[in-house]
This record gives sequence, structure tokens and C-alpha cells, in this order.
Amino acid sequence: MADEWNIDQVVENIELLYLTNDSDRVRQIQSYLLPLQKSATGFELGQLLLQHVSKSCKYFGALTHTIYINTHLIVQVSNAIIDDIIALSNNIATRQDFDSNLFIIRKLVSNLCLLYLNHIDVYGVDPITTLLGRSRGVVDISNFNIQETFPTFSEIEIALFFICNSILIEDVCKRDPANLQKIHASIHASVFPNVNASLSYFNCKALPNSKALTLLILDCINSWVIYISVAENGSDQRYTENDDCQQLVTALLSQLGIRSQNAQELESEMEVLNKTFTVLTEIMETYPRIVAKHKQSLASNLFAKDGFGSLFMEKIISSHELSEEYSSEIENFVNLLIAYLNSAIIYISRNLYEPEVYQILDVILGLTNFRGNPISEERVSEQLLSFWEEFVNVYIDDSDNLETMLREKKVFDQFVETRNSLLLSVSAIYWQKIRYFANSPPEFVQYRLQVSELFILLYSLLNTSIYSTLCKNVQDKLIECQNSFSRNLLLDLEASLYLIYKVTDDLTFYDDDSTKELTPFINQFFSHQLVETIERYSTSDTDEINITLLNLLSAIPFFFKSDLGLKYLSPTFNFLFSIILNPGKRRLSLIGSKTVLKICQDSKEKLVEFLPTLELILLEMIKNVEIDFVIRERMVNSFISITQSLKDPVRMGENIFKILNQINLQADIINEKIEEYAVSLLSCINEIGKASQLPEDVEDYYTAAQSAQTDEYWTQDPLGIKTSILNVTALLSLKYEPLAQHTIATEKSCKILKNGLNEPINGPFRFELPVIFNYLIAKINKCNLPSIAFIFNLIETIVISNGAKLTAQNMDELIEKFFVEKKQLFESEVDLITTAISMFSTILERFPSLLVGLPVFQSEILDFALRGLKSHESFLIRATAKFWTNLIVLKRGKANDQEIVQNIMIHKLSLGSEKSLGYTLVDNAIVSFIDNPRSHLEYFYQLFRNLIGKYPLHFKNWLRSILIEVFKFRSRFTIQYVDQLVSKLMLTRGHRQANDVLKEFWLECNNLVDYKTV
Amino acid sequence: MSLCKTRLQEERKQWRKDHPFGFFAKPCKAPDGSLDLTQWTAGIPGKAGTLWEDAVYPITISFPEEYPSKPPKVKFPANFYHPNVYPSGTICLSILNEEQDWRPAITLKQIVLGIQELLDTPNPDSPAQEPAWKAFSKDRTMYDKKVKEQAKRYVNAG
Repeated sequence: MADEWNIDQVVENIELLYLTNDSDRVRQIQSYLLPLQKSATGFELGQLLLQHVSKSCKYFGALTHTIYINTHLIVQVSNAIIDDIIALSNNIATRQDFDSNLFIIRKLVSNLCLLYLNHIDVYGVDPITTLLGRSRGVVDISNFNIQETFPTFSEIEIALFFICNSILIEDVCKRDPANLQKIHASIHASVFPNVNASLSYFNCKALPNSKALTLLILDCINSWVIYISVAENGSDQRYTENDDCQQLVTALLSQLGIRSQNAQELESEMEVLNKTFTVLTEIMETYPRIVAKHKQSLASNLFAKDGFGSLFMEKIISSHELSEEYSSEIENFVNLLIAYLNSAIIYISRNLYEPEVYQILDVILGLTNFRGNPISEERVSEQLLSFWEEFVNVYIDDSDNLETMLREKKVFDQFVETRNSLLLSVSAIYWQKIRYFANSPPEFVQYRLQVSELFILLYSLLNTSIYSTLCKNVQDKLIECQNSFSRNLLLDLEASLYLIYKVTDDLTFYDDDSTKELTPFINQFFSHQLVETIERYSTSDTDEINITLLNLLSAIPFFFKSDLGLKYLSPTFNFLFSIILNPGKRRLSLIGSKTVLKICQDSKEKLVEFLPTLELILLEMIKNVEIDFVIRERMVNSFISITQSLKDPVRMGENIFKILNQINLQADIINEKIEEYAVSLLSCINEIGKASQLPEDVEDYYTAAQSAQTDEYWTQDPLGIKTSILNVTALLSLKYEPLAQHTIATEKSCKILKNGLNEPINGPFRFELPVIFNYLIAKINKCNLPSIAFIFNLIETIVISNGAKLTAQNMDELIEKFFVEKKQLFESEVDLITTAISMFSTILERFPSLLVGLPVFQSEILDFALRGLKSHESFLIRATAKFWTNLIVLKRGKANDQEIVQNIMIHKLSLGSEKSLGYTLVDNAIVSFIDNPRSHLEYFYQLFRNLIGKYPLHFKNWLRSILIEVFKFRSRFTIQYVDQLVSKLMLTRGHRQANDVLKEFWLECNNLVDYKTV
Repeated sequence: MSLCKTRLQEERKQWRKDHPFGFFAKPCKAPDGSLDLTQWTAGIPGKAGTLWEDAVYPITISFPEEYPSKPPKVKFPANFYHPNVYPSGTICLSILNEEQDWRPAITLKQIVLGIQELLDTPNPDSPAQEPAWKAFSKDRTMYDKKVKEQAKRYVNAG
């Protein structure tokens, strides 16, 4: 029984609870204690525990009160409970070890606040007044006035006062914001004036000497700032300036007064200062209105030469030793500066000439240039990045206003000059900061990214001036490198190239046209042997500069296309190939191959002269088993893309022939150890196919003569390339046993055959359909089960792209070979059923005449698709529902097809049944609909809606009869219910409202509710 | 200004102030050169120690006018290989579904982190594409191979 307990046993369990690490034991103890806490004698237990000498027991006693208060409706006994809690609070509070018991006191106070907040109507006086009044022995609390008594409070009473304030308002903030009006009103009327008066008292008399007490007061101010924001949002209470919120700010600002010039004394105040920084920042960010009157004073404190900020920077920040020790405090100080700056950003940005603004910016520039490497040694420059970004944004967003304000052109130009000079100083600092340094941490990459974002913003203000400065710097560094190389020079070079890359990449991402003006600047450093210099000096530990160069190269295809840039392609390609062919640098090689692919795809017309070099490299890569397959495939694509741009079928044929020939040779040496390589050879053929595809508007791409010449060439195919493609594909995916059973090999070979299906004129990959079918027939007889999906998928694509070329007889033969002869396989595997049904569904959608008249359709396929409806597997149910919907709609069906289907639906008896196929379809569909999960309902809606639309009378009868049968054992669903449902459904005439009726029906059948309406 | 625009400006501000390591996100530009805050492009780094590591996967984020009442539509490139990504590239994730776990308070940061988490912990109960879902459920070797191949194609270039 929960009401019966032995205090010794309870105490023993509590002590164990706080000692053990065994989670099972903890659960066991909790399941013993919780019922006791919730029981009718829980409060009595709490009191006993509070009297125990152990602090764990005392705290558990306070916790037990919380549980008791939350479990029992105790309005009637609440006064007694308050007395008890106060008595206990006093008992602990009068002990000398107040601070060490603070956690218990807090819990008890929280209980008091809980009672007050739960039963606010019962209480006339707030819990803080009650607690402090009772603790002084006041009987009639309504006569107790905190504001009058406050000057006589002891340190413990002051502490209790501020703790209670914090707890009360923090607890209110945690509550559901609805129904807090009364609480907010009561706090505004009776609690806030007391805290305000107490702070006013301290503001006149200075805060107490006790550091602990000062911290409590600052905590309390912080809680009030957060509370005020919540209360103003959630009620009609307003803490206007008249309410003298100013006392909160004054108390805080007084902490920033200079009491000593001594660093040691500043250090001794650090905890209080740190708290002041965070609370002031919180105010600036959440409730800046409170600070409005004090902004000037705050600015002086933070930025003036004789203010607190200067002292803090001089004594703490400038000291190497102290800045390391107080890095967190410095971070909070800088946050406060940023919060202030953000609140005054418009003023600062418009008044650059004002001495006070100049002083502020001077301080911030100094902090931006905080000594040390970013992230690993300092974080201030990172913190200030957000401010500088915001600062630049203001100029971008405010440019029209500025022009209006500074009407005279001369004045405006002067202003812009000053602004630009300031921003260039900022950029110079960050430019230095992003240089790689020894053991730079991974987060440094993120820092560089943030800096690059600032530069992107700066570009939109400073335009090419900043870009040209960066480019000029690269040029200078290259000259220096050529005269006397050092690793530092390389790092400088990298930093500038990184920023150029990021700005250029951003510009090309947004707008191709604007990049033209960059070409001369880029030329500036390319003409000073950028690529050659980096290639010469980079070593195994300078991957960063190689990566940056690779990225830059991939961002400037517009440059290589230009007359200025064209001549640099040769050294660029040499560099890229040296990177790609370096087997020890996998990541670099991958990035390099991506760069090559990008340049080749973007500037293929300009790269024709590189074909011989590329060919040599490519043929080597095909031979080299060690080359990463992604790189090999990208190089094939690059090579063929360039060849394609010649628009010369003879050259195209010759180049494809060379690659195929090499692949063919390699195919002879493959073995099980290099299976991945063998698959990669198939992928290479696929890449040839991808890169050979003509653009959509072939008329715009080829002249009529070119088009005819190409078509003629590939019709003749003098080098026998098509045969060669088929032979190599068959060799690797069919004849070579290990790959014959390899799913990815089948996938790749199907992709190869798919490449030419949509080509408008003849090309290397446009095969005759029977040729593809022959391959597929051979393949389906020699492959693993997962491969079949790719085979069917290819047939589906053939139907979509070339269905008009097929006859019903073709289809009949295909179905015989691919489906009927393999039927056992299909019935064994749910994925294969989906695959087959999807294919039939596509035929019904695109070319129904190919299917609906076939005997096999009626004898096999329909029954197969009916069984598909019995599944709960998402893809299958979706494919099957779509199959039946396509059959019913028969969008592209001729009159004859429509007639056949109608006949099938109404008159054909389904296999092994005396019912029509339509009846069986509705029967299976409705049973499946009821049984399927909510997420599958969508798949059925179209099916039912089309049945209603196309077969209204039959559907009505079928559905009624089926539902009566389905519900014969469920008394809730009477015949009247069925009739009503059928009528409702028929009234929708198959329109969208049918979805709602069906969903409602599904919910009722499954005893569920619509979560949208609850 | 509409609620959608105000919120997106705030999201942009917050993102610039604090975003997770290795991610990027930026709004696109409208034809007139101004920023279109309703269309973003972003990059999701694969978590270290997973099949997805060393690569950054691009996504596009389209915010509807009803945002934040309605969730944004987030897409990988078409045919992205993942069990919970539709062939069109649209991501199937409960926090991006209005009828499931979307809440207006969900931030851009939470969205991209959610997508990063999804990469290596697909939800087999919400299949969105057949090939990856099938391989993930039935042929893990092939699934791993395909994911690694995809990671190479999106290798992190820094």
C-alpha cells in the first residue's frame, strides 16, 4: 500500500538513488518512491524528509511536495501547506550554510510559487510578500509592505527576495501562455513594483558588497527582462518607461563603472562583469526599448577612451595571458559590443565622420584584428564577422536613402570614399586571417567560408575594385615566388585565390553576364604563370593550394572561352592531368576530374586541339586498373563531349572506335579480382552514349546538311561501331559469367541500350528494336532476380519512346518471352510483381491497343493484376492501383479498345469466379483499401473515382453488394449505413469530394479519427 | 511585408549568425538581380564515419507563400540515390510534411540537420524510390556501393 511506509526504508532508498549509477536500480527505486510521493500521506512524508539531516533527503522532501501539490487538489489545505513550507524554509534559511542549502530552498520556493500560480484566485497576496512577511512573524500579511521594510532586510532576506522573484517569473514563463492574463496582471500590480523599488534603493545606495548577492540580483534582472517580453506578448500588461524599467538598466550599468585601474581588481570582479555582459546583451537583443534612454551612457562605457570598455580591452584583452584565461568573458564582452552596434547600426553607417562613430569603428577594427590565428587562438574576429556583414548589408539596402540624404555629389563621393576605405581595411584584416596555418582545425574551413561570404557582399558594394586588388595581389605574389619562393608566399597566394574563387563562383552562380568584366583581371595572374608556378612549387603538404586552384579553374569556364583565356588551356590541362594521374591523392584526383569535366562540358568547342593529348591519357586510363572508376568515366565523357562538338560524324566514329577498341582489349583480361573495373568498362560505354546524345533542339544544333550527313554516316556505320558496342556489352554482361549475375552490370548495360532511344536521327547508340529485344531475351535468361527490374524498365522506356513502332504481335511475343515463360519467378517475388505491373500499366497508359486485345491479357495479366491488389506493399499497391486506373480510363484507347475493356469489366468472369471482373476488381480494391495503412489511401482514390465516373450503375450495384457481404458480421455497419455511403459516394460523380467520403469510410472501418480535425 | 518574407529574412540572419559546420545555404537571385528569399540553394555534408562522408550534397529549398504555416519543399538533384528521396529529388521527411511533423517554429538549421541525419538513417517505412529502397532493404552490399559511388560524384571540394 502506497500510504504505508517506513521512513528509514525511504531514506535508505533515497540515499541509494543519488549514489547508484545502475539505471535498472534507479528505475526500481523510482517505482518504489513515486507512489509514496503521490499518496495521500505524501505531504507528511515530504515534511519528515525535510527534517532529515541529509541534504539529499531534504531535497527529495521538497520534491515530494511538488509531486504532492501537482497530484492533489489542495486548495483547502493550501494555507497550512504554505505555513509548513515557510517554516521549513526559515528553518533552513537561518542556518549558516545558506548557500550550500540553496538548491533545497529554491525547490521549496518553487513549491510556494506553484501553489500561487495554480490557485491565484485564492490568494490575495503574492508568495514573495507572504514568505518574507511570515518569516518576520507578520500575522496579517496584507499589512506587510516590502518596499518599506526592504532597507531593514538581512542579507539572507535580500537573497530570498531576489531568488523568489526569479523563480516566480521563470515558472510563469514555462507555463502554457494561454490563460495567464490574471497572473500577468497580478505580477505587474504587486510583484514588479517591489523589485523595482528594491533596485531603486540599491541604485541610490550602491549594490551590496557581497559578490554572491550581486550575482543573484543580476540573475533576477535577467529573468525579469525575459519575463517582460513574455508578459507583453501574452497579455495586455505593459512595462513602459513610466514603470521605471530604468532601474533594471541602471543597476546593470553601475557594474560597468570603473572602480579601479588595476587588472587584478578587474579579475576579481570578472564573474560579476561577465554576468553583466550577458544580461545587458540579453536586453539589447530581446528588449532594446528598455535601454533606449541609456544608450549614450552605454556607448561611453563601452567605447570611450576613458570608459570601462577601453580599460577592459587594455587590461584583459591586450594581455596575452589574461585574454587566454578569460576567453569566454571576452566573447561575452564582444557579444555585448555587437548587440550595441546592431542597435545603432543605421546611425553608425550614416555618420562615419562623427568623432564618436569614428572612435567606435576604430575600437571594432582593432578587435577584428585580434592577435592570433582564428579559431585556434582567437574567436573575436569570427564573432565580429556577423557585425561586418550586417554593416555592409546596411549600405546595400540603404543606398537610395544615403543618396537622398547626401544630395551633393561631392559630399556623397567623399562619403563613399571614406566608407570604401573603411571596408577595404576590414577586408585586409580578414584576408590575412584566412591564411592557412600549421595545424589549423577543421572549423577553420568554416571560418574561411564565412569570410568569403563577407567578400561576396563587399564585392556588391566595392565591385571590381576589391576583385582587382585580389588579382593584383596574386600577380605580385607570383612574381615574388618566381624570384624567391617561400611557403608563406604560397599560403598568401592561396588565400587570395580562395577569395577570387568564392567571389567568382558566386557571380557565375547568379549571373553569367557580369563575369565578362572579370576576364582582364583573371588574365592578370594567368599571364604570370599561375598554373605553372603552383605546379612547380606545390608539394605533398600543400594540397590546400591545389584544391583552391582546382576550384578556381572550375569556376572560370567563361575565361577559358574568351580570347584572352584560351591560350592558358594547355598549361591548365597539363596541371589537371598531373593531378588526376596522381594515384596517391584520391580526393584531389576526384576534384580534378570534376574540374576537367566541367571545363570540357562548358568550353568543348575550344578544346578540340587537346583531343590527341586527351586520347592518349584516356586510353592509358582505360588500361589502368588502379584509376578510380568515377575519374575514368568522367574522362570518357569529356573526350566524347569535345569530339561531339566537332559535328563531324567521321571523327566521332573514329574516336568512339578507339575507345571501344581499347575497352574490348581490356575485356579479355578481366577476372574476378577486378570485377569493379569490369563494371567500370561497361560504365565507360554508357558514358560514350551519354556524351553522344544530341541536344533537344537538333534543328538548332545541326544544319540540314550536317544532320543528313550524320544520319547517313550512322546508318552506314562503316566502322561497325554499333555492332562493337553490342558485342562488348554482351561480352561483359552476358558471356563473362561473374558479371552475368551482377545487378549493376545489368543496370549499366540497360542504360547503354537506352541512350539512343530518343535520338531524332541515327547515331552510334540508336539500335534497331529487335536487336535490343534479342539482347534482353538473352539477358533475362541469364541474370539474377534483381536484374529483371532493369530489363523491364528498359522495355517500359522502349514503349514510351518507340511504342508507335511496335505491333500487338510484337508485344504478344515479348510478353510470352519476358512474362509468361517466367511467370513462376514473378509470383515468387513482390518486387518483380511490381516491376511487371508497372510495365503493363505504362503500356495501357501510352499504347493500350498493344495490350488489351491480346488473349494473354485476359488470360494471365488481368488475374495477375487482381492479385496485386491484395498487397500492402507501398510500391506494389501504387503500381497496381495505377494499372487498374489506366485500364478504366484508357486515355489513349481507340473505340475498339474501349469496347473490349468495357466488355471485360462487365461481362468477363474473373478466373475461378462467377462474378464479373468489374465486381471482383471492386471487391479486391475495397477490401485492400480498408486494410491498407493511411499513407496508401491516396493510391486508391483515383481508381474508385474513375470507376464511379465510367461505370456508375455497375459500380453502385457492385459496391452495395460487396459492402453488405463485407460487413455481414459487423453489426455497426447496417444496410442503411451501406446505402447511405454508396449514395454519398455516387453523389460526388467521381469528383474530388469522393476522396473525403472514402477517407471518412476508411476511418470508420478502422475505428480511427482524422488527426486534422482533432 | 508578408509573414513569409519577414520570417525568411530572420532565417537568413540566423543562418549567417550561426550555422552548422560544413553546411552552406544561400538564397538565389531573382531575374531583376534582387535576392529571391523564397528560393535557396544549400549543401548538406555527409556525416563523418558514414557512407556519405567526404561529400557535400546539393539541395534546393523552395518556400511557399504560406510559409511558415506550410513547410518548404526540399529537393536533391533528380535521381538522387536514397530510399526516402523521390525520383524527382523531393525529400520525404516527416518534418517537411505539413500533415506530419512540420511546425512553423522549425528553422532552416533544423531542416538541413534533419536531412543530414536522414542520409545515413533512412526511414524504411517511407519509401520514396524503388531502387534505393529495395537495395537498402534487401541488398545492403549493393546499396553501400551505390551510395559510395554517389559520394564520389559529390566529393567535397572545400
